[in-house]
Amino acid sequence: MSGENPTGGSAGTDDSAGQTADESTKPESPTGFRRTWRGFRAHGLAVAGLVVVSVVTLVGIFSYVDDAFLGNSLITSVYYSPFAPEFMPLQGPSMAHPFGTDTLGRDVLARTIYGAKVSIQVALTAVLVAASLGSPLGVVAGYLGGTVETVVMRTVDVMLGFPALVLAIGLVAALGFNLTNVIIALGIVYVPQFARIARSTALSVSNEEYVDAAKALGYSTPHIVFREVLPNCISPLLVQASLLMAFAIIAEASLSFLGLGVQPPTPTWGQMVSDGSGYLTSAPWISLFPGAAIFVTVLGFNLIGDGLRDALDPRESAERRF
Amino acid sequence: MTDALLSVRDLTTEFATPNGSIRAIEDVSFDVESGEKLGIVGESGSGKSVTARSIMGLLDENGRIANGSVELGGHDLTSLSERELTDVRGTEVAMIFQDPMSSLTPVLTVGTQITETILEHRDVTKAEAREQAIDLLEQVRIPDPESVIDTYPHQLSGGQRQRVLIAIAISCDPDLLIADEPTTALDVTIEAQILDLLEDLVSDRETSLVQITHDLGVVAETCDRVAVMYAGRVVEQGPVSEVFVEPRHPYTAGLLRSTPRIADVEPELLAGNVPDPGERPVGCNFAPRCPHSTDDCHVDDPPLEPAGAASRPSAEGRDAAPAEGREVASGEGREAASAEGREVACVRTDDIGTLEPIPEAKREQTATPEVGPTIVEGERVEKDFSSADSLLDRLLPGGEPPVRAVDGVDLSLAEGETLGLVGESGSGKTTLGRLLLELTDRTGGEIRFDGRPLAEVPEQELRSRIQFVFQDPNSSLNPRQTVGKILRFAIKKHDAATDVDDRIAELLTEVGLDPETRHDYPHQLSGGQKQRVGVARALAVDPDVIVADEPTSALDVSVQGQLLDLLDDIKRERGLSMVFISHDLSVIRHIADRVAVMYLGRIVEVGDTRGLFGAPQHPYTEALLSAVPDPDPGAEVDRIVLDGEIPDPKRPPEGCNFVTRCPEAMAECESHDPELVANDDGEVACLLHHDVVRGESADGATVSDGPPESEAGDAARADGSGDSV
Ligand code: SF4
Ligand code: SF4
Repeated sequence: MSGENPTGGSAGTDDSAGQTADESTKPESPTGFRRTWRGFRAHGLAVAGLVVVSVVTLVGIFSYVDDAFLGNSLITSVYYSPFAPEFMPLQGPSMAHPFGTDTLGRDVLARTIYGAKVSIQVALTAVLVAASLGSPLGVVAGYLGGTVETVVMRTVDVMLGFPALVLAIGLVAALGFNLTNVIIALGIVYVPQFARIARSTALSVSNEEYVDAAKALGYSTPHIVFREVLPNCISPLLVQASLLMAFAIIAEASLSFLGLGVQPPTPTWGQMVSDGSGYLTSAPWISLFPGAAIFVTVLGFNLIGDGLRDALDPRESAERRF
Repeated sequence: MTDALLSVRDLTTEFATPNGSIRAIEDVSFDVESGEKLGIVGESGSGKSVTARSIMGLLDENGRIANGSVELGGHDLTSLSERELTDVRGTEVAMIFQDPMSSLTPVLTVGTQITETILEHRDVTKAEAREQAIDLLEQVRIPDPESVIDTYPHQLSGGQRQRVLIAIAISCDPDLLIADEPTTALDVTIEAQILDLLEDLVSDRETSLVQITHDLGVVAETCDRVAVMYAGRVVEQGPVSEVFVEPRHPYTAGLLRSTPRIADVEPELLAGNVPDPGERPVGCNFAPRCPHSTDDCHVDDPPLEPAGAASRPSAEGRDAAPAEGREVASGEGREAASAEGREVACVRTDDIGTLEPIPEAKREQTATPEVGPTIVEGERVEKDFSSADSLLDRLLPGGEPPVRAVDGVDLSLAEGETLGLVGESGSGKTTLGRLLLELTDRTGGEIRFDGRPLAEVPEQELRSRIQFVFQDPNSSLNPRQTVGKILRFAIKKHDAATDVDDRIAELLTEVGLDPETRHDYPHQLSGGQKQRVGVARALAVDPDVIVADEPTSALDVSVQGQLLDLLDDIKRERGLSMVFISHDLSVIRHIADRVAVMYLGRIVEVGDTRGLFGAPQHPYTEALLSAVPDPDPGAEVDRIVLDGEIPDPKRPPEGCNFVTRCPEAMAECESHDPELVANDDGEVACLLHHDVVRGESADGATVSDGPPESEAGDAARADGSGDSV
C-alpha cells in the first residue's frame, strides 16, 4: 500500500508483528529495526533508490485510484487522457506533450504515468505471492531436512532449470493473457528463489542454540519453525524480495513487450516500448520514456536491495563493540 | 628508562561511532626492556587488544590514535607512514593473533605464506626462503615440517596453525613479539605446549614479548612484568612476582581473588561489570565496584604513579631486589616491595596499603552430599556421527569411518549432586550432555531417567524435568523475541494455569535480574545478563535436573564468578541436580561435587572433586591438572606437557585411547583397552591402576601377563610419542 512497503516499512511490520504482539506493555518498535534503518540511511544510494521507488509507487497508486474509481477524471482534469487518441500522432516532445505522442496520437507522459500502476502492482503482488509460498517451504525444508528437504529442493532445482522468463511465458500461455495470470505466473516462477534462500538460512539458524533450547523445552515443530526459525530468516529474504521486485518489473515488461501480458488498451511500459519499437529512428520518444521508467524503477529496487543487504549484515553489529 | 625497547607514553585511542567518538584507551604508558616479557592483563572492554593494535598501527578504519607516542627502538611508530610501518612490522615487531584460522589465508599453502613474509623482508632466493621456512617450522616443533609446508591451513589442527603463525611472526627475527591471546582458543594441554614453545623461543632469541591475555595464570607463568588494565587504563603495573603477590590496586586484588583456582580456596565475588567505553564514570573508573572508594575517588581519573613503599611499616626492605618478592610473600613479616617500576593508579594507595591476592575463605569441605537416589543413569552410551550423508557416500564401499563422539560411557547422577564433566574439545562432553536430553539421537546404550529408560518417559515429562543451559550467550536466545516472550513461551508450555506475568517477574528476580528486563531484546543485554536469562528459561519449567554446557566460558572472570555462584545457589535452594560441562578445571573445582574426566569419547576417571583434584589417578587427569596455569607466581611449576594432540576420533588408537600421548604408557597399553574400574578413590580407566584391582577381584581377563611397572613404560613411551602428531 504505502510507498515504503517494499523496503524499510515491511521490515518494521515483519519484525514487530512477531515481537510486540505479546508484550503489549511497551509499544516501542524494536531497536533492531531502528539500527537497520540507521545503517540503511547511511547508504546514500539506497536512500536515492527508496525515493525513486516511492515516487513510482505513489504515481502507481494515483493512476490506480484514478482509473478504478474516478473514471480517469483526475488526470483528464489537469492533463490529457492516456486513452483518447485526440492529438496528432508521432509528435515529438513539446511544451504541450513533454514526452511526445504515440502512433495513435495519445500522450506518452499520461500513458507512462498509467503504466506505473501495472508495473508496481505486478511486482508487489507477484513477489508477495512468491515470498509467502517459497519462504515457509524453504524454512520447513531446511529445518526438517530428510525426505521433506529432498522433495522440496529437488522440485525447486527442476524449476530453476528453466529460465524464469520462459517458464513465465509458458504459464501465462496456459492460463490466459491477463493481469491476474501474469501475477500468478511470476509468483510461481519466483517461488524457488525464496525457497532456496529460506532453506539455506534456516539451515544455519537451526544450528543456533535457541533452537536447541526450544527443543529441550518441548515446543512443537510448527512453533519452532514459525516462531523461532522463520523470524530469524527474514533479513536475507527481504533483500531477495527487493531484488526480485526489479526482476518482476522487467519480466512483466518483457511479457507485455511480447504481447503476452496485460492486454491493450491498459497501458504498460513493456507494451509501450513494444509499440514504439517500429519507430525507433523516426519517433524514439515513444519507446524511450517508458524504457527509461523501467530502467529507473529497476535501478531503484536494486539500490534498495543493496542498501538492505549492507544494513542487515550481521557484521554491522560489530559497531556495538566499537 | 631510555634504554627501553618499546616505550608507550600516554597512548589514547579513539573510535568514531554513530554516537560520537569513544575513547577505548586513555593515557596508557608502559615500557618493555629488551628481552623482557610483559603481560597485559584485563577483562573484555579493558582495552588490552586496542593497545596492541594501536602499537602495531592495525586499528580499524574508525579508530585513530588521539594522543601519545609509541617509541620502538628509538623511532615513533605513530608518526610513520603506512609504507614505513609495513617495513617495521615483521622485522622489528610482529604480532601473533588469537584466531589462527582467520589470520592465515585459506587458499595458500603454509609454506607460501611463510616464504612470502621472508621474501618481503629479506634478500633471498625462493629456494633459500623455503629452506628457512622448513627450518622455522622445525623450530616451532611441528613434526615432519617437509610435508607440512605444502599443506593448507584447514588441514592442520588449531594448535598447529598457531605454531605456523608463530613461525611467520619470528621469520624475520623481530625484536618484539606481541601475542594477543595466543592460546585462548586452544585446549589446556595444547595451551601448555604453545606457552612452553613461546617461552623457549623468546629466551633463545632474546626477543621481547608482550603477552595480552585475560588469564592471570598465563601471565604468572610466562611473564616478568605485568600491566593490569581496567576500563581503558593501566591501573597497576610492576613485576609479576610483586603485583600478583602483593597487589596494591583494589581491582588487581579483586581480579586475583575472584579467579577460580585449582588450589583449595573459595573464589570471592567481584560484583558489577566493566563499564562500556563511553559510559565510564567520572573519577576512578573502578569506583562503582571498589570496596575502598570514598568521595575523593569520584573527582579525577587517578594518574598512574610510582607506588612507594611509604605505607609499609618496615622500611628496610626498600632496596630488596624484585626477585625476592616471592619469598617475601610467604615469610611472616612482609617487607615492603621495592618501588622499582611499580606503579598504581589509585588515589588511596597510601591508605589502603598492600592487599591480599588470595581469598581467605578456605573451601569448605564439600561433604559428599547425602547421595540421594540416582536420577539419571547412562549405560554404555554411544554416539556416532556419520559423515556418509550423501547418496554417493552410502553407495561407495569403504568411505570414512564414523566419528565416535561418545564411545560407551557409563555415568550416574544422584539427586542433589553436581557432576562436573571435564574434557578438552573433541572429548565428547558436550555430545554426552546433549544425549541426556535427547537433543541428539543415541547410537547405542541406554539412558535411564528415574529408573525408566528414556524411551518410556513421556516427552512432556522429560522436557519439564530436565533442562539445558547453553554455552554461547549470543546464540542461546532468540534475537527476535523479548526476554519476556522467551520466558512466556516456556512457562505457558508447562503450566498454562499460572499467572504468567508474575512468574516472569519471579524468575527474573531469582536469577538476579530486574523484572523490567522482560522488555529488552537479547542484544540490549550484556553477556552475563543473557546467560542469566538462559538460566531463567531453564528454570521456567521447574526442572529437577539441569545440564549446563560451558555456561561461563564466554564470560569474563568476574562475571563468570557471579554466574557460578548463582547456579550454585539456585541448585541448593531448589534441590536440583546438575551436570556441569566445562573445559576449565578451576571452574569445575569450584562448582562440582563429583568429577568425570573425558578423553576421546570415554570417561577415563571419576571421583569426588576433592579426591580427584588432590590425587589424580589417571595420567591424563594428572597432566590436565598440571597444565592449568596458576595465577600464583610462587606456585612451583611442575608442568607435565603432553606431546601431540587428541587423535582423530574416526581412528582412535588401538588399546588405551590415551596411549599416543601417555607419559606412563606401557607395552600392554597398546593392546589392552582399560575398562573404568572402581577402587577406593573413585573409578579410573588405566592399566596402571588395574593391577591392584585385578589382584583383588581376580578379574584376570583384562590383562593376562603381569606387567612390570614403569620400566617397560619407557620403551612404550618412546613409541607413543613417536606416533603422536
Ligand atoms: S581510586 Fe578510589 S575507587 Fe579507585 S581504586 Fe582507588 S580506592 Fe578504589
Ligand atoms: S592404560 Fe596405559 S596408556 Fe592408558 S592411561 Fe594408563 S598407562 Fe597410560
